[in-house]
Amino acid sequence: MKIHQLSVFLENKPGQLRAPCAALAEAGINIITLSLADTEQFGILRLIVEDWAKAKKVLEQAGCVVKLTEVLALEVADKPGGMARILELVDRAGLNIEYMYAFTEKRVDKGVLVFRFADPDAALRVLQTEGINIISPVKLLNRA
Amino acid sequence: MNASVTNVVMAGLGGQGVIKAAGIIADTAYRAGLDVKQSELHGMSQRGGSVSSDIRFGTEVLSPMVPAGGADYLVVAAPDQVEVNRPQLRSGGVLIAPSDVDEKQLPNKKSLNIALLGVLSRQLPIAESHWREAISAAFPEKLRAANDQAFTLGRSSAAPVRPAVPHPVSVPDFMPVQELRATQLTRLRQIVARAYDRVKLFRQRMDERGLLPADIQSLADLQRLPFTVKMDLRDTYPYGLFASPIRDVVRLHASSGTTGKPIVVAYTQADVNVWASVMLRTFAACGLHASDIIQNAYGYGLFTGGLGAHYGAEALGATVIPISGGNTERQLMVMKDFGVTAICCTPSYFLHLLDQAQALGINVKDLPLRVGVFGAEPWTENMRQRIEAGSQIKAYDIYGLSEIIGPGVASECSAQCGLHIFEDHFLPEIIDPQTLEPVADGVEGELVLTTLSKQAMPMIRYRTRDITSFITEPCPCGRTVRRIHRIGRRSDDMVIIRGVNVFPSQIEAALLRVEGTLPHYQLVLTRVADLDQLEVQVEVTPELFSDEIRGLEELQKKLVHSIEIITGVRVAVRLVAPKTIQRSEGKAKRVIDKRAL
Repeated sequence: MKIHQLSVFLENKPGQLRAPCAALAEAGINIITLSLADTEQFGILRLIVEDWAKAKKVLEQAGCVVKLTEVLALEVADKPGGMARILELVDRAGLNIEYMYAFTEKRVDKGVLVFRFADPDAALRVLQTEGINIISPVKLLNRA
Repeated sequence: MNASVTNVVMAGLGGQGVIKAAGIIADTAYRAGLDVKQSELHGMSQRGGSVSSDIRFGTEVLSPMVPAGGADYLVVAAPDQVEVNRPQLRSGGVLIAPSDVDEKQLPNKKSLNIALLGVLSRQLPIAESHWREAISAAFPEKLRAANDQAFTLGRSSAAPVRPAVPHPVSVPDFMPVQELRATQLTRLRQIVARAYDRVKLFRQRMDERGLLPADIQSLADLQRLPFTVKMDLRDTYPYGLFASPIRDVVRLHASSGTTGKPIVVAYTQADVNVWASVMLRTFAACGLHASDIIQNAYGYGLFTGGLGAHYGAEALGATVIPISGGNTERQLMVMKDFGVTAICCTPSYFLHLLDQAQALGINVKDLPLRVGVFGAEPWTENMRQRIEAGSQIKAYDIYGLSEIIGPGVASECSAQCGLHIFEDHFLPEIIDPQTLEPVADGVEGELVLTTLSKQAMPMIRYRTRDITSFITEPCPCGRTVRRIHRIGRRSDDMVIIRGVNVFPSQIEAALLRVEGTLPHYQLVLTRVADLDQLEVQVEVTPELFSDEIRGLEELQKKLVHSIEIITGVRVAVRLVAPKTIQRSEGKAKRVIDKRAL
């Protein structure tokens, strides 16, 4: 079963990520998961949302360039070697992977976002002062 | 339009044998050894509805569709269908209607279509035998005699073989060259005398050269006269170059004044009348006529575009909608609801309208819009193709500048190949901007214009800064006034990157070579360590957008490469989010100069 994924073009400058997310928030559309690919000048925000058709319209109305792509979501055993087995199958079949990203199924009533900051130490300091719950590597593993 | 292709539109009502006649025209051309294409029947084929069919023939014909307003011959079988179909005829095209044959002499009423082919046959260089064979093949034995007789009637009708008939006001466009030169010389001598008597700056410059108006004996003496440049208009701001007292001036316009003070231009009533006449000639050359509904989206106000086009359109007798620029949604609503057939605006604004129409779910191709009269900024042939493909209209380039009169200095004709200068009013020269000497015919240089009839503000040898060249071949439309190539660039829009001259129009052409790029772009000029750097910012469109980084990087590379091929320099290309580059409603601002000089 293929899944519809929306990709949005972003310029790589401050504030660009907020606009599409705010538009979806305003329309009451929940993001199931996302991934962000970037270069020095631009980025691509890839989204899997609850109602892709509505989300596409909302994003286009917000002035975004949106592309619809079909992706496959494969369920793997959430244990060591789970992904490796899938990749082995993919390799054997000679399939080419353009890109991939991962998220864990919701077991607790909270999502997990993964960010890479240019200056992680500074970001850590700021987020700690703001009282944001920063999950330690150990805790993250425990959730899985 | 390819001159070697003949475009015929056959029209009438269902039941009149329109498709039959069209088929015979096509068969005749085929029998004469020509390449022929015939379109399907347009309209309702049931008895009584309007129908038409296009036939094109020549040495090589690619498309079966006669371009809008591009028919050389329009054959109409029903009198009440003439006006409906007239817009299909190019300016100077030939109309063949039932009044061209004596219907009472027809063997039967149903053979009118074939009688009209007889009239048409006199206009075309195809042997009569081919016509007879095609007609004979098209009818069963018992109908042949009657149709043969109808053809003979049409072929021997009194209708003269008509040359292209211009709109009466366009007659100067077709003036014999000798007569044109004589008119120009008379007017040149008058205008030089007027400027000498009434404009201090001009008199001073003549005196410095020891020249008197009487020294101007021939058109070649034009080169002895001093140039006028934009700075002169600024230095004498506001009224210093006027040759008429303010009480005779009926109108003032002013430039947008992007740098320093604006420039002011003046018109007497006679000047306003000339302006309307040259704009009328512009519209006529673009194939417009009294039954057109023209949406004038040039800005009204101090800018000359709005009122210039307005007066010309009214003089033509067309219906003018003075909507002015801006408010894109209202523009589209009016275009759709008012049945607009022609629009005047900048080409970049029209592309913007097309974009917005798409967003609003309006398909411009479905509207009656058939002609765009585009000017006020340089644009490219590629841009024309995009406009015509995106809207199914004929896009014409026009040229003008406030200092000379406004729009109406030059216009394309149905040939869409170069702009005819209305040189009975505006005398053109093309000079080398470095040496200031005239260049040889056909060589590129700066266009210099002298107003031959302008009273309030004569301009003698005004340097336009626009780069073009004369087209030396005669135009297929028959106009005798000289043609210039479309203005691709201005000598002062130029950006110099690593010693190479780069013009926005070149960047535009380069971007358009890459499939799918609409020309929303800008050039940002910066200076890093004493070196000028150029970044070309291009808006990403849904067609261009790839959801893979690799795809976008590939696109960037393609754009860089395409620009390098055309300009010879490697510049940076930055992909930017849609609608982030400012849209123009007047002249597009293509170069953002961020250098701290």
